[in-house]
Amino acid sequence: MKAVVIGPGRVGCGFVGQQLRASGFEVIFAARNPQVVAHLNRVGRYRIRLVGGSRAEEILVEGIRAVPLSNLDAVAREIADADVVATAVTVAGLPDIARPLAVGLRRRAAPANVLAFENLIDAGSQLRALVARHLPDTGLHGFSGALVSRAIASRLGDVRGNKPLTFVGDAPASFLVDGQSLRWPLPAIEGMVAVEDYRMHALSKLYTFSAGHATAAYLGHLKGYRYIHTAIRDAEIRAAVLGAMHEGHQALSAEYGARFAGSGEDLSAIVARFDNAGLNDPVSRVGREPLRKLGSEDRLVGAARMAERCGIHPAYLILAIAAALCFEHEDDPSSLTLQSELTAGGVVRVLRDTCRLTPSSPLGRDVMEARARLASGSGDGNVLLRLRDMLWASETDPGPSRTARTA
Amino acid sequence: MRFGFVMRPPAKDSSSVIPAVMRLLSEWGATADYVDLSEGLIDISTIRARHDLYVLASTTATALSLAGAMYAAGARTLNPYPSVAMSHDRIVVTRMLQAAGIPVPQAFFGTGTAALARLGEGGPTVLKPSGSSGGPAFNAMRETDETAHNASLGHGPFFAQRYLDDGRALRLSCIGGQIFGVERSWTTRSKGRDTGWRPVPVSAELCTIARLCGQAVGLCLYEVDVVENGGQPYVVNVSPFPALTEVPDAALRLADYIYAEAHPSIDRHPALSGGKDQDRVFRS
Repeated sequence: MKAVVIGPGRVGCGFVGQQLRASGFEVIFAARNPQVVAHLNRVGRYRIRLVGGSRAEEILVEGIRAVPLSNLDAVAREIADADVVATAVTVAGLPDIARPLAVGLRRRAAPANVLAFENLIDAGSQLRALVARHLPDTGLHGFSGALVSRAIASRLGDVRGNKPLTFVGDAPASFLVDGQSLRWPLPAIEGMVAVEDYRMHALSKLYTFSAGHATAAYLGHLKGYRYIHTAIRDAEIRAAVLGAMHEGHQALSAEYGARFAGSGEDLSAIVARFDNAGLNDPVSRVGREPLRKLGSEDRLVGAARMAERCGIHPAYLILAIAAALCFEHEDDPSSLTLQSELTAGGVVRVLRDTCRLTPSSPLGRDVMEARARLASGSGDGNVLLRLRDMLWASETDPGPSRTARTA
Repeated sequence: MRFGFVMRPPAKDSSSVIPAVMRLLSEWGATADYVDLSEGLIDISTIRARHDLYVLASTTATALSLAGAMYAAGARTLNPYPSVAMSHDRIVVTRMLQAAGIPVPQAFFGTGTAALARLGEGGPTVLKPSGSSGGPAFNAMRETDETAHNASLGHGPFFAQRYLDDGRALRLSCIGGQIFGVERSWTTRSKGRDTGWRPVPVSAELCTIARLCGQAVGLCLYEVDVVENGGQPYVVNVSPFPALTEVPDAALRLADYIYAEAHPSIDRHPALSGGKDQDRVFRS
């Protein structure tokens, strides 16, 4: 059996490749970076480090090779006789892989299943639509999103060297796919669970786990912490994370019933995963791409809107949205764009264009009010010491740039 | 991951944040030990680095010698040992701060009671031992006849600063570029209504001064004492380890920083000691 994985990054190697190899598939990665292709072909293996508290296990994944994504013919040849195709390129990378994927699928005699391991509610249909621009008849093939339960925080090692790369993640090894969007028989992959109500499962993950993770990251960033496992130890952040997840959970229960929302115990288990210091998960990684994460259906705004629809006041989600609007990290272009947009057009425009929130609505007003409170001190490396009385480490600079930020 | 804290274990009723920092690091899967030479005898040739990172949390003569010997043996330390050793000497630090353009009170050093008497004639003075970063940073000698009494400070040279009293004292704790301030009022203290330190936002000017102090002395983890006089801040003391009194979530912040500083040197998880034998392998 053969599988092609487009994107040998944290999820592609740190989860998908391992599950496929464990299921007996030969794995061929398609990578954009020629150094990564050369490394994987030269070394032929990588490690996965699964950590939980003070315990860790390493798994060596062998029997892999790679082709450059830029070599359309090579990628197409691999896809042409693959038993399953997976993508793990992040949402922003999907448009770039649509063409090579289409070229490969065109050469196939048999239908293929394409699993999009992207953190999107509708990753399968989005990828299908992108591929359809190059291959009109995508109906032959199955396209599904794939929801991963594992958090993969980092890649260690140097692709220029000869030592295997190491991907660090936590233990969960299951993933959900949309059984109704795939072609049967389904590929037999360890940990794969096909569900009929994929969208609801995706929303459930997004509005609890992802909302809590983002809340920890954005408040952790404001408070000057470097790691998620540190931020979650701050009593005010922990309360906000649990609060945001609880609001998301209540909204899901009201909208879809308790079956999809999970239980309160599930929320405590999620917080325990954020406590996992073995991941060394930086706040800056979890918080990156705030423009996407502030999307109207995404983890914070989507959950807050659903909560409000259900008559639940999403106080903690509002705080998290406001904190996300303050996120700025020099290595994250999305955060820099966000801050530029806030400076140029003000928070009203960002709420309207990015979050799809009406600024004059109750939710919009609450977000603007919370953001104004946080923005009065944030920026220039200032650190929030206490949320309850908004005590900042440094005095607020009343200069013009600050005024622009709070506009 | 192993951390060594070069210091004596603090007393149980101590306000030190170090035990809480060590507890957090342990809960995060690391090992955190006190590295101390309490009443011990050690063959110097056996001193070597046994931890991934050492935190120089004490400036006693014993701790400094031990830290210096480990530094010579290749130990990685948080705050470079030479900077910590240098910051032990108030005379040296004061000159470095002056050279960096940082405002400090007029300062002197000398020896003998005659010099002390001359010093007292110039006005109220704060007298401190020269060879320690600890000690009574805010004790003032106001009258000349106190000089003889204060001459018992030690056997080495004395260090003195002109006394500046404008009612406000600030302590700035610096943790890897982040600066946290606490404030104490001198006047309330002298009237016996000491409310202790309280956290306050630090002005941009004081942040700059605190950063310049760290750059001048070569420290990343330190504390700066500042008094204000006539609206002008003066640095009266730089210590190579912050007490972090009244800084909110101080232990968590310090543990976060120490953990991050050690992280780049870590190639393996502490639980993975057996190497390849522990691998589960999916082979083709």
